[in-house]
Amino acid sequence: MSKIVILNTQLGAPQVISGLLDKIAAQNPALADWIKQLDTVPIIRECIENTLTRMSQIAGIRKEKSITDYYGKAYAGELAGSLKTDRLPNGLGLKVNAQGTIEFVADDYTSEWRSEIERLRKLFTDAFLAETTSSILQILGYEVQVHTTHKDGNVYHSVEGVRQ
Amino acid sequence: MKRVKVGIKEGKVTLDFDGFVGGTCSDEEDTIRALYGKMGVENDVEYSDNKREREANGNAERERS
Repeated sequence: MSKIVILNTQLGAPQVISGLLDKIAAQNPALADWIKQLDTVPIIRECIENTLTRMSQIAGIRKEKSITDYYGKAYAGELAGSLKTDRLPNGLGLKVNAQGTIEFVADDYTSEWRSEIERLRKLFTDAFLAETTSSILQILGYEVQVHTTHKDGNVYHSVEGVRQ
Repeated sequence: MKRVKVGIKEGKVTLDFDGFVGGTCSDEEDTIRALYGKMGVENDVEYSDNKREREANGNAERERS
């Protein structure tokens, strides 16, 4: 049997979608309980690290650890990492709060910086989805391969999981 | 053998399930969506090809196995 499902996604606070856990519990109570108890914050942090590494393979994007503001002052908060480009030399920082929610930090003083921040946010979100998908499929026992293709500034990720 | 192919573009995730028997396909979809949520990926279904699921209903897979 085959089935295709298209999901609209956005980054937010880690939580199970209302009603979905009840549906899983009706079929497999142990699985629902395991999902409910699963601490995903360490997995999210690992996925961010892998995402930054994956993005650093895109021409013009550098993986770094810090960001600065317009005056060159370094951001004092804790960052999971940052991305820098020639169009955004001060960088876009990635933070993870205690609940595992990803936050973006950057000085958006100029319009050029703002457009580059938006471009990097979108690229990060897709690359993070690829890493997250890979982690989920591995957790579920699949052998996983991730492919990323770049063409004319567009980036496309595909993930394939196989399980006997 | 079960296979899940996932395409990702501009926040849209396409999950293509293959080789699942009967309701196990929807169960796997629910589990993956729940784990996305736990990973901070809010998701809602834009499109689901249930017609393909109804037509097959797992019978062909069972007959072959």
